[in-house]
Amino acid sequence: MTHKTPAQHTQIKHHISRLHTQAKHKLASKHKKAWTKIKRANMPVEHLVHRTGQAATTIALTGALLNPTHAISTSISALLPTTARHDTDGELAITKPVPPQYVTLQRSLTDLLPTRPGTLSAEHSLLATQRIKALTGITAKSELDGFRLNADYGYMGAEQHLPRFPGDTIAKHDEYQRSGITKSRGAFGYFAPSESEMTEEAMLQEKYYVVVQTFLAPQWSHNSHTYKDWIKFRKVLVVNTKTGKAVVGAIGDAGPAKWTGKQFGGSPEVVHHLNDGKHHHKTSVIVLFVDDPDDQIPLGPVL
Amino acid sequence: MTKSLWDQFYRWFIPTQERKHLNVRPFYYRWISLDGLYHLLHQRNLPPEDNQEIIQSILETIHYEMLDATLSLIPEEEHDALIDRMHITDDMQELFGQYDLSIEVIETSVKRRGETLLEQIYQALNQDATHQQ
Repeated sequence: MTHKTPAQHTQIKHHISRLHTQAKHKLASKHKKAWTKIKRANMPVEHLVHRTGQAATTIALTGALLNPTHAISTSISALLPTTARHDTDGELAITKPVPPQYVTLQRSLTDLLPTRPGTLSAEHSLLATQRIKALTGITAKSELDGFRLNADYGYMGAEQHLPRFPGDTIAKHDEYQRSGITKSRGAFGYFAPSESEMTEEAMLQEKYYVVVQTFLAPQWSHNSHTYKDWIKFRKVLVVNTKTGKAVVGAIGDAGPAKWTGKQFGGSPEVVHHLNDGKHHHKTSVIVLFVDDPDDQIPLGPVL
Repeated sequence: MTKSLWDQFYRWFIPTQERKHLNVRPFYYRWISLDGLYHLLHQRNLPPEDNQEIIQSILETIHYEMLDATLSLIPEEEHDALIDRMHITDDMQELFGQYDLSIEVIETSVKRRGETLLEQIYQALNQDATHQQ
């Protein structure tokens, strides 16, 4: 990675700023009515994120001067840092940096956690759904389509890679090869029938797979086949309750054994992301189903 | 800016993150890939406060330029309505179908402006590196 001196930083900023000024003047002079409308609506950044759950993330990323209350529910906006406006010539301006969004998420969930691994109360479950939605734009629920896990909150163990197709080896996985690979496929089978039939989706499903104790879930004893079909590769949102780091994963295996004292498992990529790039054998997490009927939420890191 | 923040920035723009009527990106992002900017800005390794300012400026610059290219093709009395529609759809037919102008013309024109702009942004971000060589 290239390390820049302050002078070089200034140079880059100067060039970008010049492009920005040129574009602004061009639009303002050629399309006065549109420019007035854009300025009035605090566009363009608002245009990109207005009324979206991603607004808060963008605030953290860009320091944009969006009013958090436009996009975030009242309960959440109270958790968000305030940003001071510096109106210069009616333009958006940059203000002081705000804490990372995952810190806000972590703080917003702390008071909802039970004292020990298990399910959230109905009230806390609903609040968790609302707060997560407001901060990430993702609808995550304890119960979806009538199905639940045996625990919403618990400890996640660090798993090995899973074979994605017959004959898969650790050398074919692009990250965290030191974690190793299991000898047998996951409880839901391979992610693809063969290497040549591997897809981007299958690759991501293994990369961000999550292990849950299907055999301890309430519906398992009633109709294990239906439950297994429903939960196979089902998307879940995993949040590290100590850091707020979050990832969308796919349920790819059943486990861990009850005696381990853990309720979940995570792929090397999941565990490393949740722990800021570090390996961790026991991560305190919330795991909720992602309500994503149109398959719009991508697998991978969220915050 | 840390890699994780870049991940968020990057992820925020990928098409699968879009949700109709909730998080519609402007239609012109179909021609503007931010992948390259992601890598280039990450390589620049700028201080977080500089990155924030640069990202903000780049997003605004893209919006201004693309809007200028688009509005230049549309009657002025339609500008407000078009900008409003851009909040709720990125479908070219829904956006431009009612105008007496082929969508191909709009696509070609706006896409070309986008390519030129991206090239300028790349050059701006690379300028100091070029000077060092």
